[in-house]
Amino acid sequence: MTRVEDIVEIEAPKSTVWKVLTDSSYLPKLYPDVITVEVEPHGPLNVGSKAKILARLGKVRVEVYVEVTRADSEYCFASRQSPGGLFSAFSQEVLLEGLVQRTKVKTVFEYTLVHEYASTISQEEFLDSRVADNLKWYTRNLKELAELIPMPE
Amino acid sequence: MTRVQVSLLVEAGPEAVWDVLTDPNYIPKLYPDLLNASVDPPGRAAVGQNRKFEARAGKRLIEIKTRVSEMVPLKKFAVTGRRGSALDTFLETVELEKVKGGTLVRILFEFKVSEAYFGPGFDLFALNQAAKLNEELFAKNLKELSELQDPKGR
Repeated sequence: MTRVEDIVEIEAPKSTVWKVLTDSSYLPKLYPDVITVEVEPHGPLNVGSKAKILARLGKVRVEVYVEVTRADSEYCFASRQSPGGLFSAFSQEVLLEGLVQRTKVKTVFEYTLVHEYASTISQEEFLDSRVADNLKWYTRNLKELAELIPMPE
Repeated sequence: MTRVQVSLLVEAGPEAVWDVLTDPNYIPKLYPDLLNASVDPPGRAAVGQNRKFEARAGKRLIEIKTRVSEMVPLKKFAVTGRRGSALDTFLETVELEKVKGGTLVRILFEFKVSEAYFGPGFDLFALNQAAKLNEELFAKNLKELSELQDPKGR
């Protein structure tokens, strides 16, 4: 099991951070190698939301399936892997803590690649580091997107 | 008006390129600064489909609106801008030609950043350059996405 953990301070309120991380349309921007995401049911991610994710690893197309397991508004968001795809195990937990005009965000990912799947793609060590890089970028991209300032009406 | 022209060989058939071009889900991966896309009516591109994008311009969250204006299956795909967004004018034309070794793709972009949308205090030259870079990277990303393969043996 590989673990990726990160903590950032985002210069935006919790409500904005929460909106970005539960809007599935942002997922291809949060994870560099995610290409498309199909979510059922449509709408903001909530407990029970299921996502089919198409991603790329090098020149190869891979699929990832996840389900949201926890969505305590503006506090905790968690998802885990559904059967099939690249991971035999995957979990994500995002914790939000409100500061003055800022939000402290802690993300923890844990995953295990499906060995048989991984070996059809490339060297497994390369693959593992590529996946870990994507998960590290998630938090940085969450910060960038949440800090965007809307244009005045 | 800024004009960007790119030609490139995609090492995949026109079907694969067309599939990427006409699936709105790919749009945020084609343009680096587009964050998401909503289309009306939903689903694959069709002539008359309206598209609305959230995008970033530096630290600003902006909006861009376009409409699919022409589709000749496996040969030509065109999109034009709609009023009331960050671009006053926008035209994107992508032409495909099946050739030995893949698909020859010719892309033409013409656009003008809207002074009225941004107002004073924004560097229009920098905005224009950022938009131009997005259009150039569109070609590279279209190639990469069209050339993706399934894992061996699956």
